[in-house]
Amino acid sequence: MSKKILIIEDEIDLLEVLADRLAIEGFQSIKCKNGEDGLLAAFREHPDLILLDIVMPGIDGLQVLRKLRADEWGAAVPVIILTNLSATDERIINSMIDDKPSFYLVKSDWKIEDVVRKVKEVLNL
Amino acid sequence: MKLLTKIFIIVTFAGLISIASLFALTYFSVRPVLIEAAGENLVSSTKETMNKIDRLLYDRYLDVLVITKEESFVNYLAYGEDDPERLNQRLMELTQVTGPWDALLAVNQAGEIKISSFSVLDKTDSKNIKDYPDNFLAFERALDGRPYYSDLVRVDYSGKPTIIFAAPVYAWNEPGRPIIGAIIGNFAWGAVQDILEELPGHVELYNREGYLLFCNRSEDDSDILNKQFRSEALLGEIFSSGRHLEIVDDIGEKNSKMLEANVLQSGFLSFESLDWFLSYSLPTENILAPADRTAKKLSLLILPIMLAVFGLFFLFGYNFVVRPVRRLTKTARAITAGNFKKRVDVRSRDEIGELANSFNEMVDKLEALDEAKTGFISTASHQLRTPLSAMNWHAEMLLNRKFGPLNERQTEYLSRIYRNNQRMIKLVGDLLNVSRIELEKLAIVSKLVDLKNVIGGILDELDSGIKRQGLKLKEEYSPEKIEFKTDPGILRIILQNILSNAVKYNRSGGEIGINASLSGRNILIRIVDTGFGIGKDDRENIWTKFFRTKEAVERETDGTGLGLYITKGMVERLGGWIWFESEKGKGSTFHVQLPAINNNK
Repeated sequence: MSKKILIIEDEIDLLEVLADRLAIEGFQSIKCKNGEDGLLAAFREHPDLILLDIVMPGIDGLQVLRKLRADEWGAAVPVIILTNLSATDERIINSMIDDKPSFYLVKSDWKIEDVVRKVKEVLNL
Repeated sequence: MKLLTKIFIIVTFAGLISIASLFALTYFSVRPVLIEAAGENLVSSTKETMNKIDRLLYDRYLDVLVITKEESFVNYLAYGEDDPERLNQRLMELTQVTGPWDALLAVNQAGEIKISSFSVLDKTDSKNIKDYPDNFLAFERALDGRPYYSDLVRVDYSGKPTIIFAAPVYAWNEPGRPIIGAIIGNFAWGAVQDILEELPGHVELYNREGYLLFCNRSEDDSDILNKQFRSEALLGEIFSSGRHLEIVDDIGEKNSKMLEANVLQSGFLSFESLDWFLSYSLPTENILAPADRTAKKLSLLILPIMLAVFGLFFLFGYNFVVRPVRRLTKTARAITAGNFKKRVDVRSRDEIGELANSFNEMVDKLEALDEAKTGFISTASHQLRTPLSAMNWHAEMLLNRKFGPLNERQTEYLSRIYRNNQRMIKLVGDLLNVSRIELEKLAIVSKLVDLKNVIGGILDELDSGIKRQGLKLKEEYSPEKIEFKTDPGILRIILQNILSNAVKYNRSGGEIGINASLSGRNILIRIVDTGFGIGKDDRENIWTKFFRTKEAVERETDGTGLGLYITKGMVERLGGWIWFESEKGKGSTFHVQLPAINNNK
């Protein structure tokens, strides 16, 4: 059975390309354009891994992560944070360490191939 | 000229002028007072001497009057009785208790000298008073019934100066008490001379007509009654006011002054014609020395006080002007160097305080502007990254032929898009790092890192460049495994910048030496290249934002000039040091020293 990956990303172009790339690897992607949808999808679908953007309108990545970690299931789910790190993001990331994200990466510095590799690594594939 | 030097010069100048004027003021105000006191002293001692002389002469006048009452003399002059021997004896006795006399004579009415002391008359045969003109004048006056005294005269029989006293002798028992003769005394002038000789300094005695009567500086007495007083006008003044005090040139010695007191005789004998005056002078040096000493002492006492006062002025000037200005300058320099957190600490409420306050306000504005600029760059970079990463991933997908094969042209063009996108990402990343460093918002998340791994990762990335240039790599680690706790992201950026420079600016077939060692509590990383080096003129600027050497621009058009600026900022953020040595044409060596608090030991 293929692994389910939830992508929460407000930039549709990035959301689409990630989903396409992961689909090529045989993953089943669930695409969400904001925090609210993402959280609902997460609790409904219980994905194997979540790719989470930080800066989003409405509920941002930080709040999503906190809510996930508060949940019995969500406490253990691997979450890879996607950022385009700015000075403000850094502060957020530092404050997020307690919420135990599996990893965080800077989108512009990462090749999509490396993102896929990281996903597989986190999933122990 | 420095401000301090200016203040020093002004204060010193003002100090010198004040000290000099105070000195002069004290000197010239104290001196006249003291001179006047000294002058009064001189006048009173002159007066005393004059009185002594007056007293001496008056006593002789009385002497003559007393001798006229001598019974034996009266009888002898009246009746010619008595023993001449006995009379002479008596005269000798009188000469000794009165006088001193050069000659003492008893003359009868006919003008015959009946009794005489000493051997005055031995020299001339005549016993007639007419043969002694000066004494004859006195005799005639006495016969007129009046006691007489002359001014100083030179008597012709001896040529000596003398004063002639004379008084009539009255018969005792005759009715109407007729005048029967006269007693004449020729005063021994030496007695007056003796009094005057005792005085130090210069003494001159003058008579009413202004003729010299005595001078203690004359070798002989030839000047006596010959020399005139020096000034007719002064003579008049002395006679009208009775005294005169002035400073005169010393005749005896060149270039020296004397204080001269002229005091008119004002005693018993001054009633008729005998008003002499004594001119007594002392060298100013002697008499004014105490005055000068006192004046100098007073002035010198003022000197240290004035010095202290002006020293205080100087200190105040330094404290209230120079120090704040220096602080202002120091702060301004720090701000110019880029430290916008600095403020001037000047709390005074004067103009300098105002300047400091407005300076601080200006810096507040500058800081706010700088923060706004940096904040803008940070936000803009973030905004730029999102579309850049979208372009990045899409191009990558196509290049990786995830959606079917591409022809050669398509691959080439897409690669260019991808490469330029990468360049943009690098630039945005650099700008973001600059703003982080400048906002001091570079977060550090420390982890245990293996230095060799980090460097290996970077070298893998630079591999294509290394191969293209045909560079030889030399790596040395001591110990072999260096592990320490630091922020891996920041460490990576630091080493990535230095190593990529070493690759980019190396010569073909050159070398890159990497030497890392653990020494004490520090990690020392040395990266040596064989590139074109950094010229002397560029060494200062190498750490400056956007600075690129001419050689670097020629070689690599892509660079941003931010790499070393970021590197230095990050090394310092990790608490380390970075420095370099370079020889133009031979290569550069960069040293990075980082603290290794939690190493693997």
